[in-house]
Amino acid sequence: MVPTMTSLGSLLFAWRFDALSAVLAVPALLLLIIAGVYALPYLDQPRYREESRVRYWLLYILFGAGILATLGAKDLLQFLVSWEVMTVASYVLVAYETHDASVLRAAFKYFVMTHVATACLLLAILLLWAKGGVLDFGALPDTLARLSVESPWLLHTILALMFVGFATKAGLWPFGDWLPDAHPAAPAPVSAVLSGVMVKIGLYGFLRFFLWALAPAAPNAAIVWGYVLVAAGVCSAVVGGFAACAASDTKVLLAYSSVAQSGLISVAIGAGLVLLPTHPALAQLALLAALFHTVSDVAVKGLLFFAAGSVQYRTGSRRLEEMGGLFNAMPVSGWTALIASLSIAGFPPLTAFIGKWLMLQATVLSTMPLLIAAGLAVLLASVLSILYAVKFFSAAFLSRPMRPGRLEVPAAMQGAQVALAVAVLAMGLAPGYWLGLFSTALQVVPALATTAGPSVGVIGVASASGAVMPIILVVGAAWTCVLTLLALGRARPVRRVETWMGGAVVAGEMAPVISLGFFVPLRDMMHAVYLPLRWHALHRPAWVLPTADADRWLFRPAAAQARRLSEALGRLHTGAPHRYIVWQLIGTLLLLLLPILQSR
Amino acid sequence: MPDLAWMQALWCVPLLGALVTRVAPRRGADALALVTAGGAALIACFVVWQFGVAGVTIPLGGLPMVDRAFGHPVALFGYHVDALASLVLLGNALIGLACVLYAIAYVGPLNRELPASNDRRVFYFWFLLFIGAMAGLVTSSTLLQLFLFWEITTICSWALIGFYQEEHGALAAAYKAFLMTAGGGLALFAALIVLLSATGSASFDAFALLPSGARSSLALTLILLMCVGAWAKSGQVPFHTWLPDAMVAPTPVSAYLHAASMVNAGAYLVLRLVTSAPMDGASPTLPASLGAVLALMGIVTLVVAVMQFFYQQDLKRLLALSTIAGLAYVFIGAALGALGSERAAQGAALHILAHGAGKGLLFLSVGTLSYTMGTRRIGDLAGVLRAAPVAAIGFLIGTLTVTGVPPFAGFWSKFALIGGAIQLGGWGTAIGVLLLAESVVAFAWLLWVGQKVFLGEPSPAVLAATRPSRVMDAALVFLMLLCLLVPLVGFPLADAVHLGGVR
Repeated sequence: MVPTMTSLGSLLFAWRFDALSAVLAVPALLLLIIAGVYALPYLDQPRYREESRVRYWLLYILFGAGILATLGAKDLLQFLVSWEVMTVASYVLVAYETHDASVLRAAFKYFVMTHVATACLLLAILLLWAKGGVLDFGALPDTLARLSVESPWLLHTILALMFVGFATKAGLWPFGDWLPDAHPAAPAPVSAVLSGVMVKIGLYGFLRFFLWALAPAAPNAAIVWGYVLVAAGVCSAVVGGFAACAASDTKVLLAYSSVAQSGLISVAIGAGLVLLPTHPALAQLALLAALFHTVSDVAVKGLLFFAAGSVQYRTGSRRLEEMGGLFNAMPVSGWTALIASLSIAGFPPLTAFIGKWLMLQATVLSTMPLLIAAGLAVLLASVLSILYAVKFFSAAFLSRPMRPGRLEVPAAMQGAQVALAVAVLAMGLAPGYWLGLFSTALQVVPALATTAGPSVGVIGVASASGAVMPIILVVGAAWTCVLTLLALGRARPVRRVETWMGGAVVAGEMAPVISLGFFVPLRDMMHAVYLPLRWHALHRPAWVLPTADADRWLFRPAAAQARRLSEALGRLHTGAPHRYIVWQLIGTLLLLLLPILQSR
Repeated sequence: MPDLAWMQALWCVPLLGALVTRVAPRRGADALALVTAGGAALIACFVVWQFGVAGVTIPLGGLPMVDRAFGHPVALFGYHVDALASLVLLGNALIGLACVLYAIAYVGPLNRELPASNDRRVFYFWFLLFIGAMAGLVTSSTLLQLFLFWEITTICSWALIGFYQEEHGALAAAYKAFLMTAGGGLALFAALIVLLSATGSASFDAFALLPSGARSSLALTLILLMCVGAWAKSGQVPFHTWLPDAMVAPTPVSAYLHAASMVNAGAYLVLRLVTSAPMDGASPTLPASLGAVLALMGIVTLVVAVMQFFYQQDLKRLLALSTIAGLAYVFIGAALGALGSERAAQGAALHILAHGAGKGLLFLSVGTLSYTMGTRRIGDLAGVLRAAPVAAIGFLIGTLTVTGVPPFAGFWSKFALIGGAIQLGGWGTAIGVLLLAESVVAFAWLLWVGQKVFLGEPSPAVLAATRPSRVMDAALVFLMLLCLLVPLVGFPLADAVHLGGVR
């Protein structure tokens, strides 16, 4: 049965949240609120003075509503509509600074790229609708199962279209090319929500469609697309990591780190999909890693963008070379940025470590060569994440102070940062509690409903494959640090000597520009990977207008011909009587001939 | 009031209003025009509410001499309102009201681009006459009555395009538009006469009565002749050249006649023919190649229109091209209907209304720029947002509507249309993908132009802008609401559009 259009309309007014959507919806809502608080003083900056507050808040609320409605959608059409409401609202927010040409270019690129993604999704949904006849999520697995038998080719087309749609939103390389443009353009609280939440909606799409719907319906197709996800994830984790190291603009750096983190999560989801039929326990571990990393990244990425925003708020700059030494000037922002940087670097007691650890376990223990390779690539990406996290924090907050005096941001912004930092610490120090929650959430995935979850305690998690207890790691790491300091501090007194260069004493602050330094080759390399957009280079061929102008080759020539013809006929009327007599004679003859001809 | 009286009122009220406004004193003309348009809109809404989903036919008989000639009564006149007519009628009435409201401020001495010293009563006369004629056109139950109203709309279009007689090219453009649409009208008339004499019927499903049947080559010739009339009226290839030139008309005229209403007449006629044909199994009894021809012409039109997008310097010409493309969707929807996809026909019917609302909004937004800044050249405009914020929002919403971005009206119609295409499978899928691609390209280009014009640092022309009129802003807001709310009214109506004629 095909739903009528009236029933399509009524679908818009009912939502359904299950555990899988709630896991994202709750952090999303919290970050939306915190970013709203952060935006209150942030928008007072002189550069936003000309812009309308009404526009910001109206669209911000619409943006939030779109995010939550996308997560709560219970059928495909509702999902698509909410998705695009979210996109439209975020476009207007990214283009908030309307007088800046570069902001507009970025916003345009963002909207067009995500609109193409939406068109892919729309096509996938229309194909499903045409073949399955229903749009409800509940009927989706049946439709997919039937398609996998009847026409696998069509199924894979649909999945490929969905993959492009979600990968663009999630920022996976090379589809997520909009991220490094849109983030510097948007106000910091909007960037925080874009990267913290909206990018995750793309990953939610993978979870909902590839894991929740596809995996139980067509396990073989799910394995294929699991490998695709792993490959795309590895690519974006590595490329994003390198690009982030090469970046010298705070928000560009963070945007690339979003690409990298999305890549890590997508490796985890892909590994989960691949392992699901054969190693359900490992699959669950991988998916737990994906959920944990997704949720923790909401807070971490939000916090990092807040830090970049606070620095920009006080210094007016996003260029890492122009900053430095802000740690003493803005202690709250500094400490919270430190927590976020350590967390994204994968420093043990904090969040990213847990996700990566579980992911490594799942991949390496799987004994599948491709997955093990992916796990090792994730390790490389972790090294890169340490590099860019250190670069971000140290270039902005450490080394020689560039500006005197206290620069701390207003209380509302501090409060927002502290709230997120607390969230990061809570997730990092007691991962067991959260992993327990997430493994409950994973129960809604039909394929995992019967798998026994890992045993979970407040301080750690243990499964068939091993245990994580961050507290113990912290204590161990802390002891190592203390012992090292004690050992080294004794052994090496500070030594001051003349250097060979010009004979001057070099202070430690003479080489503070660590935002460039040994990252320069990386930057040059990245130019080839992320190409800048050049619209003015588009060439408009000259033949188009004349071809399209039917007047020119059809109507005017036809009219000219008609005129010539009528002039030729007009020549018959010369006004000379003898000619008319001739015509009359010919006419009479013809009339006379007619009956004769007819009688034969 | 009996049903017939409502039907008569649909076109007689605007006609009377037009006459009264023409002879009334100058001062009262604005109020009279607005009251007439409002009244016409109310009547139309009532008729749609009353008969829209259920449908009603009121035959009015024919002419004694025609009856004698055929030896049996021939229905030449009558009213027929159903879901399809309602969708067009709603757009006609509501967008007409918005455009009259807009014109009160726009067609006047304060207009910076074209300060009009002409008598506004002349404008209102033709405009209101057009509202009536279009209402009569869509409620006609026979081809003959439809043709009569059809020609009245052509004359109104000629008079309104040439309204600024001193403007360079206005009269030439009016003449060109008249020649092309009236020429198409002749083709329609020829087909109508042959059909009438061959079958003794002027109804929309008369093709079945042809001695050689509804799938014969004679039927195909007649329908294609009618399509020529429809293509000319709707600015489809190869008759697409008059529409961009007609943009010398005052903006409310461009918005109403040349985007939201008159150009719909052709699309409406083709949809009407397709939906009236009785069903034979899965597809309507129409010539087999009709769907293919219609779809092919629609696609050619789309391509021709879209490739010219990138060369336009004049905002209104750009929108005219986008109108041509928008109507091509309806023609393609009708083609898919002819191939048997009811869903696509429903989408096409809804698209008439959705596209009308969105394109009307786009045109009126651009009109605000002409009014306050005296130019509509893309290169001369930048940073309009602060000078005319309502127009900026209107342009964005209009763009999102006509290019089919949810949740605005265009999405729903395109969803049904493209969904129907894909359900057909085979070539239908290819057409669906093509339509989707066109939507994305049109979206990107309109957004690009919109950003250039409305955002950024204000250009000199914008800095020297006057304030937009409140009345014009009100008309824009009305249309914005329409863009969002069309699906609510449009869904039940579109659902009631069926292939296979009256059930």
